[in-house]
Amino acid sequence: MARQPPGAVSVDPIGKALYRASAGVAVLGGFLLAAIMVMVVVSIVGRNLAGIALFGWLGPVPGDFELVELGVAIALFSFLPYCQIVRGNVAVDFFVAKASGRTRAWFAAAGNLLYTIIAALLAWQLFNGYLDRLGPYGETTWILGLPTKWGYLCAVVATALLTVVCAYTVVRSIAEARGEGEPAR
Amino acid sequence: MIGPELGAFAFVALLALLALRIPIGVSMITVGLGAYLMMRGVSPTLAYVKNTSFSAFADYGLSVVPLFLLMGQFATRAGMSKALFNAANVFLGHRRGGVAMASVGACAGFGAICGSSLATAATMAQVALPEMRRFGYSGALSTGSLAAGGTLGILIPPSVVLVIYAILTEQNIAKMFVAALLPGFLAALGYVLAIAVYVRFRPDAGPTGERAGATARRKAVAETWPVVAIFLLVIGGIYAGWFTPTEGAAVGAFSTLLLAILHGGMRWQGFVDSLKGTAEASAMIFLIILGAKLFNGMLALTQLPQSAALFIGDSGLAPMAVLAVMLLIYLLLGCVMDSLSMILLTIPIFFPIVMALDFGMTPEETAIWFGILALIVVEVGLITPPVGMNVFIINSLARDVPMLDSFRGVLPFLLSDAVRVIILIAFPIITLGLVNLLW
Repeated sequence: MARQPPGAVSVDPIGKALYRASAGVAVLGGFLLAAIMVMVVVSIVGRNLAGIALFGWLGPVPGDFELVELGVAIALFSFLPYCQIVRGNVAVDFFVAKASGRTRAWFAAAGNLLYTIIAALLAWQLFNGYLDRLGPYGETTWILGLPTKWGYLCAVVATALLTVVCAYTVVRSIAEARGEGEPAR
Repeated sequence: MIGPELGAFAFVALLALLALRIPIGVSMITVGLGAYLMMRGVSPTLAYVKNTSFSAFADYGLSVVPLFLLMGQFATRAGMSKALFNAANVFLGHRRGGVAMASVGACAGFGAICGSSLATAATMAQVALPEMRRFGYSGALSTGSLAAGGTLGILIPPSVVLVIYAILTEQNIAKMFVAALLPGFLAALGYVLAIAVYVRFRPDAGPTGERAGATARRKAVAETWPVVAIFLLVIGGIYAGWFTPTEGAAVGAFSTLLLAILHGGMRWQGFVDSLKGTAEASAMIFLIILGAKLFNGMLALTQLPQSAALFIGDSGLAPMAVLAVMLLIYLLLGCVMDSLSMILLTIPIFFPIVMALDFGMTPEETAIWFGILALIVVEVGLITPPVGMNVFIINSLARDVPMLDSFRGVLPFLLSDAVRVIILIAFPIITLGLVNLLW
């Protein structure tokens, strides 16, 4: 469900740039998710054909489970900034539904501020997780021996972008609270 | 303040944040970490964030969710809504209220390849609303039947909420899906009956449509074969053990992708839009999942779930009374909250309580049965005022119908839901029969 055209989301140059960056990162993550989907299908086909004489050389993709885990995790982190900038995160609308657009924008500013702090905390702790996995004896996946630090690094980049996007949405909400109010969904 | 009191206090704080329209995931993370900080101090809390955040997303079991969402995105672009509607309409259209019945039937069919209620309602509305308008159906009946029909999207497997319930309670996803089949079918049947009764009192609300001949019927049914094939492949494959639920979701997403390209005429832009739609829906869900993980981890430390289960288990309350109260809480929460958040928020407390009560079934049966009941009741929230998301979405597509009319149109379906929940509570065999037969 495409909810809003980019124009309704961000009119200022910083907002537009951040929208483009977030959408770009999300689509990259989407490609990764689609690639995993194809890999899983190939793995299933290979696994099932392996029993047939002619296709004996086929088999499942080695380490398919850990590829799914690592790839989906990276994709999910890459989705977070986009969801925030298009106002995709759900909230309980009931109690402030009657409030004016400007009042609602103040509440949104508070929520976005909390999310900014959380995003920064996530980026910081994921970076610590990345540091923990550096060095020749860093954690690797079971079968393919992929270093999990790569996953952490992608997550750090995504949550760093998320922090910037969240900070921008705080400013955006405050501007809406002092001006026209929050646009209707 | 530590222990269960802190847990209870955390719940109150969470509800307060939610009431202030702080996003649900953000509220859960804030309160979860805040209470953890009070119990354990600064550095354990930072370590808690470090150890939980990546693992919450790198979870093989949960990877089924974004793949099912991707499948749903492709499904909305597969161009099957028209075929599904026709297949139902050739059998039902000539009856009074028949076009509305066909809309419900088509929603049920679409639910078989889409695990989301909003997407089901919105996609089917694009085909069914103009048809109902053409035959002069009232605004209340057309919007009501589509909003209610949309809830079938999540009831009929594959279902995102059911997957999350299964993972939270460590149940077998295939068994949950099979258990949902008959209740899902009953739901569609109940909605059709609700329309039949409604048009008896309001004949002008749903005039008869066209009658179709036997050839047209065969042809219309034949055209829905891709949906049937994908549904059987995904659900059958997971059941037969050909693949894990995650792999089933990947197979389903891949085949709906092919269908969208070959039948729906999806091109590059549509593909990129599907990815964006998946990104938004997945991020929304996983922020709440991360929040639930941090919140529930904190809650487990306070021992609130265990003490609550112990307290209610020893209180001598009738199990059915406790169940009724829980379902009532879901109904109330459902008025203001979305279904997934409700499940993530309540199951850690409710599930141990339910399992501590004696319903005369094995633990696994109780878990499956309760899951289906909870799923149905949280879905009712999608069509109850004041925040019925399905009603909102249909109403935004039918601009000339007043919102009040739409909510009025939903009433017969709410009655049907109530009757069905009572039947499913009274006869657990409806939910469990197929599971016991197949395993």
